Amino acid sequence: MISEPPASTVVATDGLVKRYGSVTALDGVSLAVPAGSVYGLVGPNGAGKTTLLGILAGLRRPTSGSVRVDAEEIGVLPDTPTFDKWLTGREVVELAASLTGAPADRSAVVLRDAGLTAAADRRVGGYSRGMLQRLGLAGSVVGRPDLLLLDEPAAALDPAGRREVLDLITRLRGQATVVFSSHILDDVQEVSDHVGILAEGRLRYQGSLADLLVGERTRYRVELGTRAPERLVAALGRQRWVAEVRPVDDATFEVEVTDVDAAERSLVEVLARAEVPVRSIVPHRRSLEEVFLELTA
Amino acid sequence: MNLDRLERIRLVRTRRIWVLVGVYVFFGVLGPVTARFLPELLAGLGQGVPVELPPPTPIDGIAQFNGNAQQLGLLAAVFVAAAAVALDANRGMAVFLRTRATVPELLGPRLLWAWIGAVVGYTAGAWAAWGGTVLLLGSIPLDRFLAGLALEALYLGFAVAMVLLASTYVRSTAAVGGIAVGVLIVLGIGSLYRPVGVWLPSALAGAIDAVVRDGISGYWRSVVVTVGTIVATWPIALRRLSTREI
Repeated sequence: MISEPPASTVVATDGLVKRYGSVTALDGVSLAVPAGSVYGLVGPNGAGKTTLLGILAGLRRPTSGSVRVDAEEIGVLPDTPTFDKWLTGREVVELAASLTGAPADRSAVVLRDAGLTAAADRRVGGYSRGMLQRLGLAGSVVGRPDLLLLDEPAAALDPAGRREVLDLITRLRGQATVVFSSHILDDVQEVSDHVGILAEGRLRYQGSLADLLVGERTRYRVELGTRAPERLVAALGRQRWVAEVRPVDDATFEVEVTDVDAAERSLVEVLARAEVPVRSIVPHRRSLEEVFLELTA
Repeated sequence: MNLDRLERIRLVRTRRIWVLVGVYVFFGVLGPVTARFLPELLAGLGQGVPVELPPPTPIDGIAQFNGNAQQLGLLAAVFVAAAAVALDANRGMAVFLRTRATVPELLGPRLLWAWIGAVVGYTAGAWAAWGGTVLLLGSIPLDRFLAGLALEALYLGFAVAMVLLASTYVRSTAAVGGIAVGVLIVLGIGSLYRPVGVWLPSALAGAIDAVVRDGISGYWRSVVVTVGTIVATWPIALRRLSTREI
């Protein structure tokens, strides 16, 4: 399930392979990251996410395949950002600013956005893991990068720290193209608009999150005010857009459809013709976790 | 904040400069004192056994300093350099730095300030030894003392270059420092064979007392080899580090 590459991509790889000795970390990955998107790279531990981001950042070389990155300034945040403990948070960001040619006053802005103004003049040796992650993000965005590569930015953080980092990523939408890896599917579903599902070094899905969650088939859960009559189930089964009708209980059933447009036009009509009281019709949206498990099983 | 300032404050805030100065100055003070009072010390330890020693000379003061400084002092200098030069010892920090600056931009100030730190430490110790020697044992020719100091500074540059080279083969600070010390020890042993030793950089290690005694003229071969090695190390290290994956 790989969608056609979008017209305007910031990152494009073609048949990317990376081997470490006999271990194949990436196996023919063709990534296409649309400009301006927040692209969630999902995969279990060991799927090849860090390797892929490392190649995009220029820190690792592919064994074969090609990489195109159309960005003048790239910000990179490793999974465990580490800084000299004897520097203050402000000095870390000022160093990042000076190395990327950002104006000096930009440091205060990104420190404020990261919620670190109060701690800016404390040495980072005393920072919590969440503060280090936010400091790393501040250092990554201070140069106003066109492309941000974030490796597991919210992993190993407590819920409050995770929330802060996800909010920061959300605020970056529209300012830069963001590619971030995660094995926390809820995080990806919350902030991404595009996803790539990576498993065992292969890209199992790539495309918009919305398309992925709707899928080629979708289900509607129909609850009636009475027992579902056989003739209704039979009538639904005869529709060409219906793949399956599954009873849940006496008054509730699920209709799996192959054509969402047709279902949206005709489902209500079929129910009305059966003259049954309808309490609710709820489209069942798949969670990213469901899809992920389907694709990686 | 820039990379040059980063290295200057690394030396100060980590207190590494004070460690270097402290170690060398300690031996600088101790050297002339030990040389001056060695007969008394040995007599005290000998429990009545007479110990005959020639009267101490000013060169003995410098030599005592040098003997100690070449061991603990050099060890400290190498590991202080390793802590700065081992760029990839920590992946999180390596990613932060290497995605923002080139390897030469990162290494230049690190090597320079590691070397300056070592030279400052050694120089402080040597001046302490010089002062103590003049006070306790008599004067020594200043021009020869300065020439010996310059040779030691060059040798410390070689030691830092070996740290750089080691950092291209291994990543951890301890391993980088260990390999560099190992190379220096092997070269030191090699220099015991005089036909080869006069060409080796290790001939410069601790040459200060010999230079004070005999002058600098015998060291041109090792100076040439040392400078050549330091210069050659740079492109080799850059090529290896620039292609190393993080």
